Amino acid sequence: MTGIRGLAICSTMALLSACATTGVNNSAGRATVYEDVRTSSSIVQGIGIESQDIVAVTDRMMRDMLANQLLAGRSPAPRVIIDSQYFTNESSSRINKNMITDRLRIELQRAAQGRMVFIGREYSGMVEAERELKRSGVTDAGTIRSTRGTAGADFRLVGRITSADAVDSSSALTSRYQQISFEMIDLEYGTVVWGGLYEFKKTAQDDIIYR
Amino acid sequence: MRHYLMTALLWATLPAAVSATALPPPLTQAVQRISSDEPNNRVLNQLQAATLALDLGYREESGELFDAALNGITTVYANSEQAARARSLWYDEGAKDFKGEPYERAMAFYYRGLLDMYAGDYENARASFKSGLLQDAFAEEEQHRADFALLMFLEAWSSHVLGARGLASERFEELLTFRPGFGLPDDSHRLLVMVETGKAPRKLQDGIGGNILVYRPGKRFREEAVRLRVDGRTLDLNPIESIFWQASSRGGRPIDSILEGQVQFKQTTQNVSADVSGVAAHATMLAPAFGAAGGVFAGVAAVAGVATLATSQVKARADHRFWNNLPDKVHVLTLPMPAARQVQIEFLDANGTVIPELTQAVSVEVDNAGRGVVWARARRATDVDRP
Repeated sequence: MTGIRGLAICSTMALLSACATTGVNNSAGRATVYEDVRTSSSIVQGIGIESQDIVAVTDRMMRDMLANQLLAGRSPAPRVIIDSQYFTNESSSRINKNMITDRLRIELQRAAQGRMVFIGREYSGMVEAERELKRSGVTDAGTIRSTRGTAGADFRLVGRITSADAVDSSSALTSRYQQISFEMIDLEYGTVVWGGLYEFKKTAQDDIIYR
Repeated sequence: MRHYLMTALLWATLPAAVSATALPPPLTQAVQRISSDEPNNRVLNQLQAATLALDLGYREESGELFDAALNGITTVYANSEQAARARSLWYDEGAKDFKGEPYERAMAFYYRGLLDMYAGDYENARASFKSGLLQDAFAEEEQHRADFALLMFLEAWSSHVLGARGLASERFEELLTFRPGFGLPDDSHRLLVMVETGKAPRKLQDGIGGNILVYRPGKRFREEAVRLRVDGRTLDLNPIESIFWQASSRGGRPIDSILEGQVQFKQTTQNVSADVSGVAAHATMLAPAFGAAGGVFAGVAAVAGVATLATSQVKARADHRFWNNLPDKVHVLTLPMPAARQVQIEFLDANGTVIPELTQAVSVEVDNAGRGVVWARARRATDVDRP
């Protein structure tokens, strides 16, 4: 009798707990908040390249380049091109490569303080158009010196993003090893004057309902 | 005061109203459904709206929608309340946030890669196709893992047009293990033609209580092959992938064992209920004759009632939500860039007879680097089967 009464009480409690949650999503939203770009978001996580990876790789490469005497210790200061033209993505992560090269170029320019001169080669069309306006007399010569040609570059950034994926099909554990390589090429001689490598690996396992 | 409030309300909603009326009605409805439907259907509605936008030529909107959907798909659901709820006894599997089965996730990456190709961004297109191929790596049956030939081909093609010969040849070699005899692109080929036929695979609930997920082909279509007419030539496309086969060949899912367990619990409680209720009915009849002792049998009746209630509350139904505007098959062809900037696509039935009402003229889109894409569908993205 005690056993049956106990079973009835337990069953009723189990049912009441199920009935208490109706399955209707009544959750409130969340106001916009700023998050630290150097940390992984607690809300959306994957195994691809995230903000903290971009910040970490560009900070490390910047320090490495400034410590290289061939790049940052020459007189006169070398002229370098840092853009995504020869920076290829061969990985399985979709990314706007400009996020990496723009941040590297801008942070490097701020920290170099004249030890390197940066050439905006991707804007050469814009520069040529303005020079043509000046020389054809459509506009005046401006307030800074006229030059015979635009600046030629000494070194240019090349690089590659690659990845190796592994999946454990029984547990759905997924891991991605990503490698981001950078090199500076001597544009006269063709040699590699500097190289840097950044690598990381992420592993995640989705809930069993998604496997 | 009322006049000023109404004016303020009108101005506040005007931008949204203008953007809504700028899109065709089917697309507007599809976009509105994303926010008006249950939150756990968000990714599903985003995928369907994105496909419709692509079909109607709204590529920017399509890209934004696919990006939003892929954010949901690639999010890792660990320690999620929604996921835990879907695993429990008291909620259907359909309570979970929709991410799609592996073939649906793979196709989301396929479409994102297609949009990247239209934009001339073949590196990100290649990344999308590689990611899509990884989604196919979860098949229970080993021989069907990572065999999405369409994505293998597109990854190889992207490397081919980028000039990455090593990467292209590696992936083409792998493709040939799944599609022996597939005609690989020549060095001179710069145009990719991709055509989709048929309608999306359908998911149905089967088994006791609907706990088993089964797949059936889409309904009411008869096109099976595709032919291209350009520059006076007639060329047959290669049916490289069957989306229905990808859906149905995956084998069992880990969640199936959980649903099976829920069904067993349900059956057990049903049996308990049936066994006990017979006694309870008898006891209720006899209770008045036994006075105080009848209380024991009242407790038995309570258990029967509770067990029956527990049985009816157990939800073990499989999630049969499906992406309804996917195709049945995808057909491809590569060729040197033709002189004409428009091609004619014909669709043939199983007997090789052209279905004239589906014939269409499609523009060749060429990017700044001289790489071309032609993409077409036999069926409009609004021609769908309902669950």
